[in-house]
Amino acid sequence: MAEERPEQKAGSPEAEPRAAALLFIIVSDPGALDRLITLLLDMGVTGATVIESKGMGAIIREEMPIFSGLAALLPARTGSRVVVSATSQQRAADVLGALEREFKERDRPIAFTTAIGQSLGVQI
Amino acid sequence: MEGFLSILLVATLAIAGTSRSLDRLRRSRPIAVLISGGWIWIALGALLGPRILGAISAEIVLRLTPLVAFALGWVGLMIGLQAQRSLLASLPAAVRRATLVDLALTIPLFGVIGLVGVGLWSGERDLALLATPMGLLVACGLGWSMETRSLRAGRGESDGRLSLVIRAAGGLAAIAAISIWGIGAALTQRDAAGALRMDAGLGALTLLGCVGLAVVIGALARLALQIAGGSRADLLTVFLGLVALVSGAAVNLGAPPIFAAMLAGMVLTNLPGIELRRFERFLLDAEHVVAVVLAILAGVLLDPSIGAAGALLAAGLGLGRLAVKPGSLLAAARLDPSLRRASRSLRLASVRQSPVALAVAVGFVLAAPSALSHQLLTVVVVAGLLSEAIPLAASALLSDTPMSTTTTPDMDREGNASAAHEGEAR
Repeated sequence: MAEERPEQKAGSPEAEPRAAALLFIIVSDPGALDRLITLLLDMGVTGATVIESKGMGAIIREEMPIFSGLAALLPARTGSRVVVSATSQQRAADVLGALEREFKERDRPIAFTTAIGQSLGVQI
Repeated sequence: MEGFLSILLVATLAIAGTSRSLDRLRRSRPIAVLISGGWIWIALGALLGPRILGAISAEIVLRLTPLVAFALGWVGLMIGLQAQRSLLASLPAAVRRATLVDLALTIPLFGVIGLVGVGLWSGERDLALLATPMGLLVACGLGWSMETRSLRAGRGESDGRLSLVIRAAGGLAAIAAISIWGIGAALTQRDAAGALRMDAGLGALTLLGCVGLAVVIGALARLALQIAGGSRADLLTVFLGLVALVSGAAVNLGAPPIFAAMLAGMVLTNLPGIELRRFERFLLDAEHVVAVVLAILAGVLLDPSIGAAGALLAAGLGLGRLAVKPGSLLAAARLDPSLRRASRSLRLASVRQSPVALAVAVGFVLAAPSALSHQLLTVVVVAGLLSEAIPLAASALLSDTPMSTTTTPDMDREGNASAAHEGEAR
């Protein structure tokens, strides 16, 4: 049975710290993924889905190769990763704070949260 | 001061011209054609060059040889890093076939055109003096432009597969082109009096030196990447150092920087235990900026006084491309029948000159500055322009027939079986 969540404002963990949030983290540098996963585990996020992705800029660039013809056959080596995790608002806020502390600004992944209205199959 | 201002101007134009704000404009097909070949930037370089506005002089560009060699080294390293053993071994048969046929057809034809054309044009009969221009035109003739978006009429599977073959075979041919240029340039050396001569012994030593340099660079890169941190700044430092080292050493060895750097990239990418993903990504991110810089410099170095003989030579090269390049894709289609159903305009994509030609020609001007080298660069540019225009005109005139007007069920079954085998092999 789907679990219903009360209406809440995203980004207001103080009001509903146990309310659920979907945390998105976009890592454009695959090398930083290892650090990110370690950080998530340290922050108590023990479940997440990692999706291989590609930025729009990379797609635009790949549509117009100048010298990088063979690189078209190496997609996995230059792609980004999107980490998605359903967690509590408070924990999501903690993760965002940790990302700010642990990563320098130029290396910092993009991260944001959205509220979860209903969920199925996940314990938050 | 003039040199500094020229660098600043070119760098600013390159960064502005490749900024994200122009992404939407670049998706327009006419603009994509103009950009992929560098034509807009070559025109801009000619406008800024000594013959029109005079904002950048050819002498300044020649004085900035170390920086231009650096840019050529960047291109070479980028190309070499794509030559991973595992990737090359797993290339589809259609890609290998297209490249081999391109080599087999282009080298003799463009060799003859180059030898006869430059010989008649310059009146030169000494083979040593003709070998380098001939090698230049052969290297510039190999391969093709790897950009296909501007020519894809549809988004069907056949167009997608052919685009991949064009890109991968173009990349492979670029490696062959730079290798041929590097070997040819190494075999032609200047003696103590400054005269060009063929010297197999010295050439072999130069080539061995390039290979040794590549191995040293690979070892240094491995050490440097282990010591460096993971940040972009660290990678930038390592990268700049490697490119500067290999480019400078190549110039001192008497070898083209683009060739030596390509060898270094090939060694680096095939060394075990090195994490190169971020390194490669960094290189690829700057691909367009470096291409714009080289195109602007090519425009500055143009010498339009090629006369009727030079124009005929350029026309010969353009028509030569039209004569032999479609054959490469036809040969590939024999192994993958689905390629035959690709759109007409895409089937002529191989006629378009490779951007590597511009890099090789600019390197030639820097290595052997003379009126002839500037004019040969102009010939390469004009041939490239013709090679862009001919497919566009031909596709408008030709009827939209597939590569093979008849296919049999056996040929289709053979192609499907071949494609399935390739999929399993990967």
